[in-house]
Amino acid sequence: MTDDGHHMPDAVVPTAEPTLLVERFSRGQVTDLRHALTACAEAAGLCDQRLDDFVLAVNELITNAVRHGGGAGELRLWRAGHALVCEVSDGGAGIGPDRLANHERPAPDTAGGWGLWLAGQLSDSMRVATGPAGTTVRISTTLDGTAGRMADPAENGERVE
Amino acid sequence: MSTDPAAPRQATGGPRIEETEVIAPLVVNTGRVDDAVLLRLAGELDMSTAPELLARITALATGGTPRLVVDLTALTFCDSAGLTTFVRGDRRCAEAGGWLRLTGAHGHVARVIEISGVDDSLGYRPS
Repeated sequence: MTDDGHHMPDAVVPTAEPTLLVERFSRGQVTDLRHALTACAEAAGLCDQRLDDFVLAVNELITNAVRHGGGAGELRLWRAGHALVCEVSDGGAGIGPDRLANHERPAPDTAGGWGLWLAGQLSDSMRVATGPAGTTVRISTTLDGTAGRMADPAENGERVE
Repeated sequence: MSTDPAAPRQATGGPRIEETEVIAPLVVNTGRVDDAVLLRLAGELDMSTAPELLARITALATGGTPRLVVDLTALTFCDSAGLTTFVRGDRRCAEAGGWLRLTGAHGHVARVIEISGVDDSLGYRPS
């Protein structure tokens, strides 16, 4: 977020790394875009559970953009070394600081609040830039990674005695 | 354009389409199991298909059959909108004196249900 409160995409897609998918989307295109993303991520070498995790994580970002981010957004997918990076931007009113600071798993009996939490759980890294002019969320997943993300109980906010 | 599902999808003069795609992303089949209603979901549950499922569950809950077994065996995708639908549907059923149980989840659908903790709140047990 910059001083005037407007968010800016904080990096330009590296020119050496070709963009795999760029798509503007709105309500009604969520399913088709998810299918396109799946094909691109699979072609880039992502497979099995890591593919499913990444697709779900991105799906949550798309859903958030449509539901809370002004009804539309833009998705960019590219490869950065051994990682696959996806950025979803919207022009909504932004995510409140309380919501952003809360990394705990939503209570199971609450209807809602799962999207951003799931996106963080199912990706290797997540960065959120948000302000009154919109939100950009960037997530990445390692293409040759084999480590299980859920192996670290601290990431879940749960303690194993 | 009228669509006949049985007709081969081949446009005259256009590129030949060799494989028929399933158009409907979510199919819901209804049956009975003991004294409960069985809802068999097939396809993908996301924000575009979840509202229809919740409407279906609500109609059953308020229509005198609030005991629902939701079979996820043929469900290939479930996101936060799906989880929310199960939680809300469970609530509608509970309000009508019944319950909603999930069964048959596997693969990534089972993973999402487990890490969200929704399985505990619904009394779901992996089958």
